[in-house]
Amino acid sequence: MIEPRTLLLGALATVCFSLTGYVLVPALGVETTPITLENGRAYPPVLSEQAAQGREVYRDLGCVYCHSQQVRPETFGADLDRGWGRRGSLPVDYVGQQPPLLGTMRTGPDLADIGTRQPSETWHLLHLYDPQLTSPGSNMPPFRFLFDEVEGHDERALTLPEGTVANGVSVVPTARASALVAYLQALQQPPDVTGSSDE
Amino acid sequence: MAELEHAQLLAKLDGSCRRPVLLFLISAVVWLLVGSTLALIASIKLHAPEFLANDAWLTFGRMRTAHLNSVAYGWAAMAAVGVLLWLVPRLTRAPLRGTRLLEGAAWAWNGLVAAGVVAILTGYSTSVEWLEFPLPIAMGLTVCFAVVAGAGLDALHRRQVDHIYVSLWYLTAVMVWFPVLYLTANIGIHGGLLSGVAQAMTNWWFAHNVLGLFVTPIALATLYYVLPKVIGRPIHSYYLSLVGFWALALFYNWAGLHHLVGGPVPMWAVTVGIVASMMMLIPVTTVAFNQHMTMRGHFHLLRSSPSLRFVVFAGMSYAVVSAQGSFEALRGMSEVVHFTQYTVGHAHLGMYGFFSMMMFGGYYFILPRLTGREWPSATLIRVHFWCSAFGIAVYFLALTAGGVQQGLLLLDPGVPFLDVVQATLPWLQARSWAGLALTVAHIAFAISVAQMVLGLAPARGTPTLLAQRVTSQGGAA
Amino acid sequence: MLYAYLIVTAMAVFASVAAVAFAWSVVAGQFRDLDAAATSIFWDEDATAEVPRG
Repeated sequence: MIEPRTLLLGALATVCFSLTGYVLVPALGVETTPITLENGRAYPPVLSEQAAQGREVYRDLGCVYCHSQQVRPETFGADLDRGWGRRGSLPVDYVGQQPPLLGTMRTGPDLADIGTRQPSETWHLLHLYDPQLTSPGSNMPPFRFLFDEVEGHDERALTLPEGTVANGVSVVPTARASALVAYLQALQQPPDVTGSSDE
Repeated sequence: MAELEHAQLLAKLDGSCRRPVLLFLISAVVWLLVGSTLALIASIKLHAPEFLANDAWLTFGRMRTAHLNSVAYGWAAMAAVGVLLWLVPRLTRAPLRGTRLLEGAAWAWNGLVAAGVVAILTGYSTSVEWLEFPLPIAMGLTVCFAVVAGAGLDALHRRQVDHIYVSLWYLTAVMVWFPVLYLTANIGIHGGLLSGVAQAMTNWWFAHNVLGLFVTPIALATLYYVLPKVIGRPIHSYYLSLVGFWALALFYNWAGLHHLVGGPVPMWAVTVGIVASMMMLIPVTTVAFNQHMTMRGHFHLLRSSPSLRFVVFAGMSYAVVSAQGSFEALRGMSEVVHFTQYTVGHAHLGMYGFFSMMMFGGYYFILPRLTGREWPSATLIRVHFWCSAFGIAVYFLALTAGGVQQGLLLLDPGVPFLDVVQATLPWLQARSWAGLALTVAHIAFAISVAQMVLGLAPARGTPTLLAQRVTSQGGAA
Repeated sequence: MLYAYLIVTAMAVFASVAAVAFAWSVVAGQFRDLDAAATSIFWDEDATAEVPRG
């Protein structure tokens, strides 16, 4: 009859088998250091301090649950045709990322290369304040809590349609909003990086 | 006088586990209600983005994550541990030791999940799916589970039986699997040892295995126990259950990487994930075949027995969701439905239609034996069953259809993205209604459970049945 | 893809060895008391079965 020892060792063996394949082998084998591009620059580049803070905002608000950051390769899906990237994503694009925000849902569009597709700071701020202003019909929630309403004129104020806020009130992005936008602008996967996802 | 001895032993066994099991099971129901509320809010927000939109802690990304973690680590894990701690003494005939320690683990578990949910709502989520709790909370949960596993293995060591019943294989394996998975993933990912793509691979190794090697085995242990007990007939093929167990142990371990099909990960890993996913058809078929053959000739009992009804519904969902999962892993299928609501429908058919329904069946079987009371109202059980069954059916069908549509539209670059969003909205609305039905079911269930544990239900006599006077011969009851 | 071949092969070897061991134990009569194992859960029959009683 089946003995507890057989059971315990068998169970341990099966899980250690997959742990070796899916945890240890990738930990030792998948690219973990930046590469040097032909122009001499290191890739992926280090995020600016502000963009790094923005990445933390992205993490704490849970943006990853609606936006993936992975462009599918040319032969798989329509990502490139949609203009979501200039090439399929590669392991090297995620070197050093903790956590890698690959995502599993596309309730919203992929953001792996959003900094290239939508470089405008103004657009991003408006979109975060109220997605309906830039993308009517979107089901993205507004992130008004990333903005302050201040009395009087402010040079950083968003240009909003008439009647959005009371007269004489300006809507000003907080440091968190500006950091998040800096991060989104930094999200780019340049085409001159080559490599294979099959090692 | 064997009967008297048995009765005495039984009282001893139940007495040894009563307090911790009740604590785990009651806590789980509270978390089920919390999780349902968070789920409803998150679901509504997806088609009404202005709903509760003014505070950061209420934003979709945090609500959805708080929902997942409260139902996964509050409801599912605590219900699973409660059922495990009840089954182990019954199957080993050894009373549990360390009861006070187990009670402490249950209280600590509640505190840790509460802290984790608050951490998520206040912006301390790690944004690593299924591992959102910060590292200290995860370590605390590991310690709690170690106490549970210690008590379980201790009882196994002192067993008074010649045979280790199939349910006990699954439970024993879980006591090894979960600590290995949870500890490795948390330390590797949050301990700074892994980054980039390697971290994503570990993430999905864990996230799929927490379903396959933690909640699934406990649900199958429940199935293999409650089904024969209720109908009074051993499982059809014991050989087959043995094959099913080892096939699950071998193949489920490797299935997780299908979550990264088409992603920037080594091709070999995804290929192995797909192969293992297809191989899962073997253990699933053994369970489905065994369930059907055991039930054959006894289906009329579904009309009367609450436990049996939930358990059989769960077993059928297991067959459907697992077969669906195997094919969903294929590259062609993934190309369409990955990244869509289809996956969410699949996940809920697994965690709800299969796992949660199985746990409900376990509750209906276990609570009368632990509290010495009968379920107070057949009507409440009926409301629970039908709202759950109807709710999960609508949920699954809406998101499956909606997800396929969403996936096909996404593959057509001529369709603007916002049109894809618009197309999903009716399906998301249907999902909210389904969620409302599930919440009604949970409220009915919670009322029943509360009456049981507060001593408001009738003392033990004849079981509360959903239909009287139904036997295979149609004879009078 | 080398890893894929290695892992899938290892899995197949693992499964085959398990299958042979299983078949061997069946032939060797290791499972003669299987019925006893399957019915062992009925020891505590505490008026449990949720079936209508006459």
